[in-house]
Amino acid sequence: MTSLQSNQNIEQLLGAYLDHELPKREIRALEARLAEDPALQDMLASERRFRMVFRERIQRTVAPASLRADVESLFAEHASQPATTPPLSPSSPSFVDNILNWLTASWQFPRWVMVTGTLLLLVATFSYSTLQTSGVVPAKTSHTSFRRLAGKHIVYFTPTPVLDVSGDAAEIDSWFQSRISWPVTVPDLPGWQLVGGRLGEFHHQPMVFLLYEGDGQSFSVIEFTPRETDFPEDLRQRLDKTDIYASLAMERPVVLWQQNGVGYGLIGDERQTTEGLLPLVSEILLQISLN
Amino acid sequence: MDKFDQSADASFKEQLLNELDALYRTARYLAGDPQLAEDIVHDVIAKALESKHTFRATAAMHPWIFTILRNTIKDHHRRQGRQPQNTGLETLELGSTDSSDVFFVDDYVLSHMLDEHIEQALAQLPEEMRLAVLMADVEGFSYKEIAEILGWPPGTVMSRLHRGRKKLRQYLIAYRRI
Repeated sequence: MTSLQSNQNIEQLLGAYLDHELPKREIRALEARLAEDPALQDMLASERRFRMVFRERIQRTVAPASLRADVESLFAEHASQPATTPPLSPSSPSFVDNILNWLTASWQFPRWVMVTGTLLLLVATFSYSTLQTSGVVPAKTSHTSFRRLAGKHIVYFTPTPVLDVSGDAAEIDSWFQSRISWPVTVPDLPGWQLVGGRLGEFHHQPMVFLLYEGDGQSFSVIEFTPRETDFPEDLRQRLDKTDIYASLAMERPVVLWQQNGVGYGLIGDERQTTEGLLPLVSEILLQISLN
Repeated sequence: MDKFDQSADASFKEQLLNELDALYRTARYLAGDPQLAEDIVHDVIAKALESKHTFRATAAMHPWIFTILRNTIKDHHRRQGRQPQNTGLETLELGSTDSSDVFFVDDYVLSHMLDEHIEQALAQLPEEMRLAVLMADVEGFSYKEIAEILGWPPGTVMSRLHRGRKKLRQYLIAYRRI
């Protein structure tokens, strides 16, 4: 039987043995010891069983379908972007040389002045970043929710819309009311045709996508269960006495806001801008407040 | 994009999809929140697509993508202005179970070990120990790979892994007593 004092070493030794991390010499020594020590054999068998059960249990956790859909939308967006510029040929001047040549040519300053200036700029950038980390300057947020919602819009509606429901506004409204826990608003937007709706999922909760088209353009109105992190402070602006949050995400303008505890948003197509969506947001704000 | 690029692109994306479960479960047990885990993995995949040019076709995807995961989690902590810490699950007092005979878990504990016990026991580990245990015992990384991905010296990997494994077993044995 192994002594209690050496148990710590035995645990580490058996652990490293099962990890295939022991040197050959130590493997031989341990295996010789194992052959003569039934208690040690039991410890090894016990540890091996535990690891197998632990791994099998944790590996039952798999990526949810909503995440797979998000990733597919990222792939679709990535595929639609133009290829990156090929690297310069070996005979070309280096990128740094090109920059330095351009700077010195345009400003007629000696190269050492430009290099010193660049270093000062880098120090300033680093200091700003340090201030951000320390909270003195607001840090840039990831805007993940904007990207995920824009990704869903892309997957659902481009290049060809795939709808769960179509028809007139009353029919679409009725279809969603039976599936969504809050009173869904189907806005009537002059100049825009309501094409249909799609039941999506966000934060593991059902959400509404309403697709509108007009004059060769399209956008979706979304309604969802919001989280505080969906509304980054650095994107906040005021519209009609309401805080709205606007940004480009996956090359599409996205505007989000909260009203009566429900998250709402507008996702445009690539030709639109966030400013261009604001009159529509204003109209929807009004209609929701009257609903 | 020519045929070679298209094929390389498809292969890259297929490899990323193959990593999705591993990324999600690691993020899930680190963050302790399924939604946050989804957000983290979404960011990891977005960064991987942006950094595709840094991935060599002959290299292994598993350590490359886990390096991105580790950096993304660090960014997330930085944005939240906090250091790695335990998740908010209820903590369990180990009492005097830190004796030398609790490293090995008997069959009774194994057969009565519920998924929620495993999740709670994992959540009690300090984040760095949890990460070491998940990477070694679930994702099959070698000590050298863990050291490279996490930027730890090899001795630190071994000690955190050993201490993490030991604490995990202690917590699971303690659950049996409840």
